Amino acid sequence: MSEDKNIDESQDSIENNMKAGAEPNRRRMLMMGAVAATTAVSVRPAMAQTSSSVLTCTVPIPGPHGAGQNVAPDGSLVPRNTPGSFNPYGRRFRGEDLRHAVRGRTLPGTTYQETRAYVKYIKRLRSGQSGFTCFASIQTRRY
Amino acid sequence: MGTIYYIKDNNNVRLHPLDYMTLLYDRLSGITHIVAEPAPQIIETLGSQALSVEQIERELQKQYDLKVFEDSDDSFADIITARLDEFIDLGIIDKCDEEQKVKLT
Repeated sequence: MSEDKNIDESQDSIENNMKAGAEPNRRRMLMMGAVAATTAVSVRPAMAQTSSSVLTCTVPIPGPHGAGQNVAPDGSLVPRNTPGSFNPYGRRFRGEDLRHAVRGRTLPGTTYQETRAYVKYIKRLRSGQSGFTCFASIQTRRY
Repeated sequence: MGTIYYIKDNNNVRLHPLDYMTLLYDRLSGITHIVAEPAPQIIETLGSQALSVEQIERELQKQYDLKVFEDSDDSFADIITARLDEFIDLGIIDKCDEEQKVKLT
């Protein structure tokens, strides 16, 4: 029947147009949020450790992997003479002092900015780096 | 020279999508980060590469239709930079000058 033939022809035409690249935009929308938003919530693992050893464990700054380097304000390790960086002299800080430092108190023998830099350094520590276990234990204990 | 960003330990970072958020497991720290978009999409875009903010934005534009809230003045580049800085604070990403890129490969 002629009407059926017309319908078939128009359907072919639509398919040909799509094959020619005139496809609709099927990308998913991605909400970008805002600059000031925080998009990460961190869950730390529980670690088995007795109360006394947590508070007396120490973290060397820097650890052996950073020997001879300074700590920049963002916690990264930088060459000794980098402007604005701090020389921690390989000092070891106690778990108890670090627990307070994370909450805003200054570490013994340091300035406020120095403490902030060392806390950022410690937060970047990874398994295998000296001080990681001590700091991870501080983060998970309830006091 | 521009700044480029890279995942510090790409082989030890795992993404697991949930409904409206994604879990990001950082094996060497043992920490699981619960992240909202566009953070996991930025991580996926980086993969094993070192990219600038502009390159990341371009790649996201290819795959997604980027949107901000109606009353927002923030540019896509500023938002991507803020997310990258957040990941730097979490110890998952690092940045360097483009001229140091050769040392990363």
